[in-house]
Order: sequence, then structure tokens, then C-alpha cells
Amino acid sequence: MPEPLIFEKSSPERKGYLFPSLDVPIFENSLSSEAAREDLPLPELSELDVVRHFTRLSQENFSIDTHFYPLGSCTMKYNPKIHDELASLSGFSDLHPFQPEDQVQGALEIMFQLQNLLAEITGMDSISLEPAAGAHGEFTGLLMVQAYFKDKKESRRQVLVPDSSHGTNPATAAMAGYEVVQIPSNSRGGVELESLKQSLSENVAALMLTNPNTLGLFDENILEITRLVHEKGGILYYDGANLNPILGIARPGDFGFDVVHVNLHKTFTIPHGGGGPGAGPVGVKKFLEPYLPVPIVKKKKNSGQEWYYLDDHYPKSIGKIKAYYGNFLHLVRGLAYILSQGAEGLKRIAELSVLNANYMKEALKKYYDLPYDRMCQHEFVLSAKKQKAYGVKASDIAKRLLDYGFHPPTIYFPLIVEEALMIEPTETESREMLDKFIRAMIQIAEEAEKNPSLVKGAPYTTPISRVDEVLAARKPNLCWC
Amino acid sequence: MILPHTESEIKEMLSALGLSSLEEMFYDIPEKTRLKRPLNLPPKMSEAELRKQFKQLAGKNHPLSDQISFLGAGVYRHHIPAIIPALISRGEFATAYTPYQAEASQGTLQAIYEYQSLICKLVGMEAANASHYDGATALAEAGFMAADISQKNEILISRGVHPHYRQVIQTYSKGGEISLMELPLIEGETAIQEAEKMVSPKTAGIILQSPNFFGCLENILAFSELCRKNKIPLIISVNEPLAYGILKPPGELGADIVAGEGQSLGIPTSFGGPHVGFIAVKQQHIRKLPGRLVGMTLDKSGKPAFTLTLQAREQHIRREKASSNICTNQSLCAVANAIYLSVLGKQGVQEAAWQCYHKAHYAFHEWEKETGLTPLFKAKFFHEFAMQIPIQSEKFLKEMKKHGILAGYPIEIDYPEFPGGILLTITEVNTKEEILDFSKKAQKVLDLQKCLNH
Amino acid sequence: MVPENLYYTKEHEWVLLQNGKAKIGITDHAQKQLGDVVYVELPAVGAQLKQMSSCGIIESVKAVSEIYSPLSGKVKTSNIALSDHPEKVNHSPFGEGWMFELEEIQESELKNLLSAQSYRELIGNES
Repeated sequence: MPEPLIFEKSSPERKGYLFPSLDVPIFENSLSSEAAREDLPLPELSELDVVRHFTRLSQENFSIDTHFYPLGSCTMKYNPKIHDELASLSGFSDLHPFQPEDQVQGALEIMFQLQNLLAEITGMDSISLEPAAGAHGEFTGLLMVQAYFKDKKESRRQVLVPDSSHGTNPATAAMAGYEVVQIPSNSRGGVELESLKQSLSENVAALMLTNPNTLGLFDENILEITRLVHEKGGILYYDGANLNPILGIARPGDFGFDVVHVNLHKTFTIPHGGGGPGAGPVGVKKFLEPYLPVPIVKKKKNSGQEWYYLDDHYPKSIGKIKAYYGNFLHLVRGLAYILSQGAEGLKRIAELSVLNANYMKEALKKYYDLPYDRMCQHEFVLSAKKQKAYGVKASDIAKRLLDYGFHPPTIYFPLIVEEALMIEPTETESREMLDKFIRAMIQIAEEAEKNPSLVKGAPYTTPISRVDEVLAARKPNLCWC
Repeated sequence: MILPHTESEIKEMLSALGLSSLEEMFYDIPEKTRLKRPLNLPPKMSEAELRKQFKQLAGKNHPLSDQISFLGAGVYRHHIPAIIPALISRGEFATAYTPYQAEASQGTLQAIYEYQSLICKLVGMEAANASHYDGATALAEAGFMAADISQKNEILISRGVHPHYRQVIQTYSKGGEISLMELPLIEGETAIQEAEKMVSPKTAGIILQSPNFFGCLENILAFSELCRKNKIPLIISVNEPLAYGILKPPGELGADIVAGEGQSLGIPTSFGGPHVGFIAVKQQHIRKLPGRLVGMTLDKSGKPAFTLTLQAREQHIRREKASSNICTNQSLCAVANAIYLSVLGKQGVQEAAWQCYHKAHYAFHEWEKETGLTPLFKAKFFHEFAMQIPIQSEKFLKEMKKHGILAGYPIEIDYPEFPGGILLTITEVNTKEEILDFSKKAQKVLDLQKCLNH
Repeated sequence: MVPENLYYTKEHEWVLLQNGKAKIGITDHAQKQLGDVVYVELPAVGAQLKQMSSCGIIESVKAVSEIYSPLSGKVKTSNIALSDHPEKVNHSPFGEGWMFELEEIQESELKNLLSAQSYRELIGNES
């Protein structure tokens, strides 16, 4: 551990921040000893101590700003700095959610505009900006599905998910009270239609689908799939994790999806923050509008002037899914991104993300097993099967990539590919960068064959070597005490 | 933003794929669903145009710093040290993904481990998760945890819990894991006698907020005794963690789970988000915690190192059997919390808390004496209290706003039983001058209304 | 390693019959598949289990699997040593790594279990 813990740098009575002096008399009738705490075991440091500590910690990270980060399914594209500048304007960051409407017209206008633009991009009729993340959007979506069927007095207990789905899909379905039924994939990586037909019944509430799926493949049977589900009265749920490659090319709403969530922190370039915050707006077709979480931003004419307001008059709404109105500052960033791109720009993003992925896939398939050898979308999945013969696993390759200065791809996902390496370059990477990564991957494939222990011992250049995850899990130490 | 590809590169890359156009890459998408028109979006903007447009939009808003505000109700304005935005906007923190690759993410991992530890110290618990979406969703999942621990499903939740939080947990309960019963209030505090009557063999746990929505300090000890007697977990919801800079933390008073909001600790009010939720527990419940956890371990060479741990509880491994579906959390905000608690440190947090406390009590007595406002409750409070306005609260707030003062939150929106009640919050950011100004303007507004009524 | 004197399930549990009671654990094959076991959650003492119902979980770092009760019965005791030392499941799956003991079992259910021979064939096919 190159940088000690903040607690270890503490020195009694040191102060790091000066408050204005108290300008009112001390309240004499103070807290009783039962109510007051005795000790506050927080560290004591100077401002510079704290700045150096967190600066040094930051330097132990790989990030988009410092490294190529082709993490499949995560869409780690460059996050334009202008968005941060805009989100930090005091006219946005210094607003209270309970300020009167006339003081927040600009904020509501941003939300209103983003609702409309996301509806257009996804082909949906109405958008809620409230969910804080993708999985949160999924939960919102399934609760709407549940409310819809309850309203129709239909009891449907199952949700279908493909075996290639994100773990959040089945986890969400279970949280919404559904039984999860898994549908196998076919040899082209899409949904096995026969199994889908067999699983469909009046008991199925929804099918949750990512398309392009987590193999990076577009399911060409999509219209057949949506038709089959609709025929049985089920709802089509679109997991928008992989929306990037179809921006401006096609829209989930046009495929027949009824509910969509969008990951603003993937497709719409909100910085990932080391795991969050994100934003997971949800879009629905007209018939599901009454169930949207409240409030929704609306516009009306108020004595000739445009007036934005929060509408929570949705008697059939599922209710609130988060306090207040969503991760607002991220909505500012998301809107800025869409406005900076326009229709042509968004389409270009899709095209070049797909071009980059296919370019890398073609260059690497000679060296790594490619289980689904066909045109991919924004990402593709290799298998380290060949390397495994030399005792080198996907995780070893991932660690070795760190020594070459690259963040590794997503590994061991999707679960249906053995020793999976899921690579998503995104459109913001130049061809030179792709070539460098390709060369590194080829070199590692060679190392795996000729000097497997070199790969298995990696990384050698990071602040720490491989961590003992077994110890971490057997004797959990989650708090410095 | 402009993408790096030149036209000639695009051509070369396509030819490497044996393609002649970009369009051919999309032939798997059924032809009839491919978009035949450009998306209907506004024309694209340059950076300079964006800046102009968003400054204009921001200009239509009225930030708190341009006025006097006593608005709180779950979202609090505090001084934010300059180092917080400076450090969390570093690309190495802001543009990293979830730290799945420990060797490439020690910065985020250690910062989150420190966050978990600092939160535990503040609220007196033994383990915290790596953050949650916000206080409301953290509380809802804490409710699920309680049901899991007690293997029952009826949660008693106090009416003193923030109304948005109660609405969110109500929404979450629709998945069927829990059902809710409301504990009534007496004089602004949750009625322990009622709770004693309502606890039954079906009860899975009790949720209390302290300080509660009205700012009143709850008797956590009495409820923890009740819970212990019935062998059910006590969940304390926290809107204002800074209060525990001086108040005895819930962990010391017998809480089993503390779930709350960390916005107060270095995060701007941001029109409601992003904020950050936390869930902290006693050691025996760590495997029931939802969301990511960072643990300290060793690397191969025996050096201390950090990693995500107990991942087998999570959705990416356990799928439908996971303890929660959460994946993305509010990591960067959690780092902001860690920086806040570090740079203020022991003395700074105490000072911020005491300043809130003294200023709020000063305001309380000043306003009680000088204006026509009367306290709604007698309970002890931290920096927030409810007062009765002799006129319609809507009218009062509107008139005060004309004088440049946001005079609190009208509680009758959520509590029709308190018409004319407003919730007022005073933090260290408010000055004595502002407090006195409120008195003057409130008198003026109320006098004028009296005249109008005669 | 598949001891002859035990009964087995398709889910890789073993059963040792002793004085009308059944001692239960997971097989050597199962622990190898899982890798380093980091946590075991066992059924509560006194719980009534049905044959092949899920009654506990075993976690390794990156995987989790359920424990199924090979027989119906009442949990008489469980191996509390595993809570501090889950590695016993790896080191001694048929010995110190045992998981729980059932009483009030029905011997008629034994016919639904596999013999050592059949279990050997099963894992032979799997690997």
C-alpha cells in the first residue's frame, strides 16, 4: 500500500478547514449527556495533507483520462470536460429541490427538453428521468409492468431473460416479485426462438432484452421476438445498456419495445465516477404512461409565457422511485451531450463505435478464439480458450494488459462464453490506439504460448500485485477500526 | 466533441473489414426498422454555443446563494471546502469505472474503504456499503434487509420519516418483499406507546428517522429496547448525518441498521441529485448488506491492498438470488463524503454541527419572541424545527420570497394535519443578520396581512 | 475421491448414515469446482427440510451455489466450525468439512440417491 490510510496520517488537534466565527450567542441550555456523543473518532489533518492523500490515491487508478479502457458493456467513452463545467454552474448546482417553481424554470426546461429528446432517440412516448442508474431504471420499468397488469386484473408471475443477460435483469425481476425464467441463446448468439415460444404463456409479464446483446450481436430475429411476446399479451423491456451502436440507426420503440431504460452514464457520456453516480431514465409507450413514477416535467402557457412545472397528478403512478427528481446534474450533462452532437453526430457515434469494434475483432480473431464470428456491433467477445491450454486464463490476460498500459476488457461475462474477454473500444478512440491495443493483445497471446508464467504472474507495474480475494472474503475487513 | 477518425482512416478500416460502406455493418438490423430519416434533434452546437445556451438556462434559475434560505427538509446547504470539487473532478477519479480490476483501481478502492470507515465512525456502526443511490433508496433496501434478517415482512415505519422516503419505500414494497404500517406521531415524536401496541409476531423491524422530518430528536434508546425485546432490527434513517458530529450516534443507542443520506457532507444541493445514500450495519449483518463492499486484504507480496469483496451476494454473480439488483452506485459522491469528513476532521465536523445547533436555537428563540410564529412542537431539535404561521403558509412563503427570503418548507403538503405549519432550517451557512432579517420581514408580512384582514 | 460408504446427490452432496441419522456435506468434486470456499450458510438447527430442497449456500470468491438437503428430516446439528473456517470444506470435504446432520429421516427416500458407483459415473460424464 503506497499511500497510508487517512487515519494513519492523523495528528491530534490538527485542523483542515476554517469556518466563519460563530456570530450568535452559544445556546446555554445545551445537549444533555444522554443526547451528546462523547468522542468523535474522525481523523485530524491539514488541508494540504488531505489534498496530497487523495491526489496520490487518484494516481493509483486507471481511468479514461489516462488510459484506453475497452471495458465491454460499460461504454467507457471520453467524457467531454465542458459538461462538467456546465453542471457546476451555480444556477444548477446551488438549487434546492423544494424551491418554488418560478425560481427553477431553467432546471425544469432542461429536464423537459431531455425527456423529449430521449423519447425521440428511443422511439418512446414518455420519459421519466427519476431513476439513478440502469438497474434502478429496470426496477422502475418492471414495477410499471406490474401496475399495468394489476390494473388489467391479470396475474402474470414470470419474467423471461436470456442467458446472456446482465445480472441486473434477473435480480431486478426477482426484486419486483417475479419468477425468473432463463431463455437459452442460439448458435448465432441470439434468443433461441423455440425455447422462447415454449416459455411464453399468459403467465409471462415481460421479456427483458438487451439488443445488441451482451455478445455485442444484434439479434436479427428481433421483430419475431417482439411479435411472439406481444401475441401472448406480454411486455417487451429494452435494457438500454447497449444503445450506443444504434443511435440514430434504429430505435427500440420501432422494434416493438414497450419500456426502455437508458444509461446516461454509458451512451450519453456521463463520467462513471469509479462506479457512479449514473442516471437511468425510463421511457414507455403511451399505454404505460399512467404508471410512470412522479413527478414528470410538463410545459404550459402561463399568461402567454412558457411555464415548466412538476406534474405529480398521476393517480395510477407506481409512486416515487427516488427522493426528488433524479440525478439532476447528470441530466444537464446528458442534455449537453445530445445538443453537442445533433442527429448527425449521434449517428456518427453509432457508426464509428461499430467500426472500431469490428476492426479490432477482425485483427484479433486469428490469435484468440472468437465464438461468434459475425458482424458485431459496438463490442465483441473473445474467449481465452486457446490460451487456457497453456494454463493462461482470461483473468491472467486481463492482468497482463495492465503492464502494457491498458485497462482490461470485461472478463468472464457473458456467462455463456468460456473464459470471456468482452471488448468495447467506443467511438472516441483513434485507430492508432486500437492498433496499439491489438499489438499488445497479440504479444500477450505469444507470451501465453511461450512463457505462460510471465502472464500468470502479471501485473508487475501496478502499485500492488494481485490481491488475495480469498482472504478478503473469508475475513472481511470493511472498516478501519 | 469531434471524433478522431479521418475520412481516409474510415475508408481504410472499412476495407480491412471487406466493406465499402458504414451502412453494411448494420445489415443485421431488419431493414424496415432502420431509421430512414435523421433523428429530430436540434442542430449540433459547438462548445462555445453550448456554454452560452446553458448559461442562459442557468440564468433562469435562482440559486440559493443569491438569496436568504431557510429551506432544508432533507437537503441541506453547508459550506463545501474548495478541495472537494477540485479533487473529485480529477479525471483519475471521475472517469474510472467500478473498481473490478483491483490492481488498476487502488485509488478508488482505498478512498471507498476510507469512506466506509468514516461513515461507520460518524454513525457508530461497524460496516457500511460502498454507497447507494440516495437516502430514500438506501432506506428502502434497509427495509428489505430487516425482513431478511428477521424472516418476517411487516415493517413499522414512523410518520416522522421524510415523506419522499416513505413514498419511495412504499414503491419498493410493491415487489412484495415487505409491507408497511405507519407509526403515528405525538408532539412531533414517534409514539413509543403506539409502537408497543403495534409490534406483533409479524413485525420485521422498525424504521425511525432521527432527527426526524420535523427536526425533532427521537428517543432511539426506547425503540431499541422495544426492538431488542421483540428480537427485530431497529433501522435509523438519517437525513442530516452532520448532526452526529455532536449527537450520540444511533449505533451507540442500539440501532442495527443506519441508512441515510450523505448530501450534507460536502455535496451541493444540486436540485435534488446526485446525492448519496449509505447503509451501515453491525458486523453480524454484513452478508445481508446490499451493494458493493470494499475490503482490506493483502497482495501477493504481503502488502496491504484493497478489493471489492463478498461479491457473491451481488447481481452479477447471484443473478435472481442477489440481495439487491444494485450495480452502479454513487461512488464519486462517496469520495466527496470521505474528503469532507477528512478535511473537516474531528474538530471541523464538531464545529459545523455546533454552529448549526447554536444558530438554529438562536433563531428559534428569536423568531418565537419577535414574530408571530409559534413552535409547533416542544421536542428537542438539532438545526430544524416546525413553526405555526398565523396566516396561510403559502401566502406567507410567497410574501417572504418577495423580500428575498426562502422561509422554509410548507409541511401541510405532506401533513394535512398541520395547516399553516412551516419547517425551518438553519445551518452554519446562515448568518445572524439573516436570522434577524427574517424576523423583520416576517413581522412586516404578518402585520400587513393583519391590516388587510381588518 | 468418492468414498464407497456414502450416498450422493446429483447436486454433489454426500450422505453418511449413522445410527438412524444422516450426516451431510459436499463432495470433493464439488469443492474443486467451486474453488476456495469463503463462506457457508447452513440450515438452522431444528429446521424441517424436505428432500432436495435448498437449505443453504456455499460461496467462493466468484461463485455461489446452493446446498440441497439429500433427505427429508429435522436438522439436529450443524457444523458451526465452518463459519470461522470455511476452508475446511476444501481441505476435508468428507471429514471436518461436513455441514449438517439430520434426524427423523425416512430411509425410503434413500432410493432417490446415487450410489458411489453412479456418482462416479455422473462426475466422469461432467468432466
